[in-house]
Amino acid sequence: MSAATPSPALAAGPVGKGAASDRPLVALVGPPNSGKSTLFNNLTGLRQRVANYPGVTVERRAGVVQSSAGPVDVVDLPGVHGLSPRSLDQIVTRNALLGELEGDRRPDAVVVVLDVTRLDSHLMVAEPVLGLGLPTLVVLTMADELDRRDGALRSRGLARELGVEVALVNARDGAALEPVRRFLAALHTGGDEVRACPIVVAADHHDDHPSGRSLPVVDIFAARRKRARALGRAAGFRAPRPSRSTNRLDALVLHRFWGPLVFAAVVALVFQAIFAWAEPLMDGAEAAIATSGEYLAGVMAEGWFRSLLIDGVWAGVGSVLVFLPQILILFFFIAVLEDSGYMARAAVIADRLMHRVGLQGKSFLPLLSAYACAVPAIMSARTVEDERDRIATIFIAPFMTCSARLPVYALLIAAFVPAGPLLGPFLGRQAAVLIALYALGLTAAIVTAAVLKRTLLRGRPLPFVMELPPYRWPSARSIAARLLDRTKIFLRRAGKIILIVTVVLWVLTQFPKTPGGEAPAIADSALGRAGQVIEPVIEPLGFDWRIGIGLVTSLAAREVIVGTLGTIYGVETRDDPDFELRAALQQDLDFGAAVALLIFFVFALQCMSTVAVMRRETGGWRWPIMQFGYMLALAYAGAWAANALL
Amino acid sequence: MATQVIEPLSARRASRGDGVNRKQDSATKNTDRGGAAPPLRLLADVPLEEEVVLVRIDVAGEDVEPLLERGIVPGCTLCPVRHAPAGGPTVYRVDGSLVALRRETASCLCVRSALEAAGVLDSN
Ligand SMILES: Nc1nc2c(ncn2[C@@H]2O[C@H](COP(=O)(O)OP(=O)(O)OP(=O)(O)O)[C@@H](O)[C@H]2O)c(=O)[nH]1
Ligand SMILES: [Mg+2]
Repeated sequence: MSAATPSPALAAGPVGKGAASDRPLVALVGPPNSGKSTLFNNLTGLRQRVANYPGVTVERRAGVVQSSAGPVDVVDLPGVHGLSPRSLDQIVTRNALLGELEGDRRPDAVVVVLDVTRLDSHLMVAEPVLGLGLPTLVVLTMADELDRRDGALRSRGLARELGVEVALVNARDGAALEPVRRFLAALHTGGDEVRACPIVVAADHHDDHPSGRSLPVVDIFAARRKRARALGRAAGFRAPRPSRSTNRLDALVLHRFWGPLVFAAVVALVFQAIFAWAEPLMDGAEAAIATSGEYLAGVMAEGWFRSLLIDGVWAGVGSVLVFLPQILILFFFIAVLEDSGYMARAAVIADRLMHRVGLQGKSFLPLLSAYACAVPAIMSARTVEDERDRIATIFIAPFMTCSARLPVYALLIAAFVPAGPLLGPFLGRQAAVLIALYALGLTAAIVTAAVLKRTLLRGRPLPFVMELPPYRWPSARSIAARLLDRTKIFLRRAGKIILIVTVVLWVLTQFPKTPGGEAPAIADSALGRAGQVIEPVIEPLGFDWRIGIGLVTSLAAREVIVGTLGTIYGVETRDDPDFELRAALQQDLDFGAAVALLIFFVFALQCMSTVAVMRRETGGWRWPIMQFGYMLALAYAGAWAANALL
Repeated sequence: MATQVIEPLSARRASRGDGVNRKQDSATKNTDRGGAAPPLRLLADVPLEEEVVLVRIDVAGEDVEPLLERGIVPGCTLCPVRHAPAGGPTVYRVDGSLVALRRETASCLCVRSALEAAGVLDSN
């Protein structure tokens, strides 16, 4: 109703630049995959995750844009199909728009972001947002695609019909965002760009209104669709023809015979690359770390500090750092697959399996992102509408092989599996073992989900509706940005958790001093003794106390075990400058124990951030504790069996 | 050429559909609406590349909203483009964009051929 007053007053007027709450607050709203985060990144210079499938953003993220008239707070929100609160990510957006998000004000204006190639259906779902009565700018993205596929629209015409400013842009192209900046500036100056849409959303089609369901929801949407089409027609909208390249690629990717083969080829390529491509880079990194260590050892005076630095930190942190190239290669492929639009197809191919298991096809996308890291994956499970399905998705996400397991796998595989071809040049033996480990995790996830969905989380299946965006060229900039972010995260973890752990471990290896004042033999040190306390528990798995310490420290994060072993062996072999972690492991573990260790890492939930985010997303300790215990039991049993049998 | 693929497929789907559809029988399915209108079909039975118009959605309660929100609203045009491998979902063009639906869901959507509908739904 407030829509009747086109009120620039709401725009907070010219305000001081002091406290954050004084700046005008603008929310980016729109259907999923319409380009909100792309726009947000271009406006703010931040790097919010962008990918070519619906449901990428699941949290509110704020940034500041310097408009010509002063700073404006802009928030990126999860994509929504209206304002009915059906999944958690949609609730985030709804609450943000209504000012019900805790610690947040109601936005002073909205930028409604719609994909112009799907104008009719996007206008239809945007109607409740347009009807909020807030000052509005409509940004139509994908102008480039509309052109390329022979569509047309007179944005002036649409502006006239809607009664608000309309900008037709390519959100990827920063230069095209002038109209958006003008709108933001007008929030300060009270310019006449700042108008609310005069659409009055009557109670009967405000689907948010509990008592307002006087019309069946189907009729509400049918009526909205009619209005949306009428708007489009009046603005000379000509829908673009279907994308030919998408059609051709889909014919291959979803082909009954070639489709699964393409899928297998993609998987093989990724894993082969992790070993083959990374090798020169890793050799380089290894050499750099070794040389710098030797150099330091040469110039530094003998003493405890040198030992801490070389045997502790260099050996510990260094042995983790060499895995950065492999992790970056993995993330490169994930970025390409996500940005191109292939992930949505993979979800369609996997739907049959997901359905058998009892999960929705929608759960597949969060699970795929768990290959990078379980934490964002658990959060993106917010897009899953059914609560039981969401919990099941969260529960199995840590079984998907996250990138933190990669250093552990790569280290042990390099030490215990001889390199060599398996399927000619396509697949090497080491890559095949890596695939097998990923497959084992996946199998555990599937079986667990099937059991959960038949017991604790039984529920009725929801209809599966998966939108398939057109294929898009991954933008080099967004891939580079993601690799850079990943490098930062990796280095930060190495520089924080791993550094702290290695220093503490090194200190524990120095006491109690021998009667002569020397550091003790490592088995007699405080660390060695602590390890020997754990040893009986892990002996059945074939591990000695060193691995035991590694298992304990890896509770912080999985890759910490690599740093831990680096430090332990580094201190132990302090007289040997050419210490190599791989060789040390070969001596200490037999083959069965190495497999047992791998299997332990496939199953165990060695990650406190995952446990913490589980607690937050499930609202209590029940699920994380169950999950931790279940995964640990599975890990222990699996490792025991492997060690006993091999 | 395309029809060769479609024939056996739709035959197979029709026989497999039995169990899936049973729960739907109590609902409003196949009750005729007005004598003059051409018979309704289920979207699941439409062969590839045939364009149809959605007439009715026989999905109960809240489950209908995910469909509506993605543009599957009475009056929209639907066209099956391809079947995913191994009996997976089918990809439909819905008013120009692509949406994948499972067979159970497609069996709840009553459609009419686009050509026939041009006459009946002219008012839209
Ligand atoms: N060609 C083209 N691609 C675009 C444009 N805007 C966004 N994209 C691409 O569209 C895809 C989706 O962009 P996002 O910014 O992640 O979309 P979003 O609205 O934030 O999506 P959710 O977070 O899922 O709601 C990405 O692949 C972008 O690169 C545009 O104007 N033109
Ligand atoms: Mg986003």
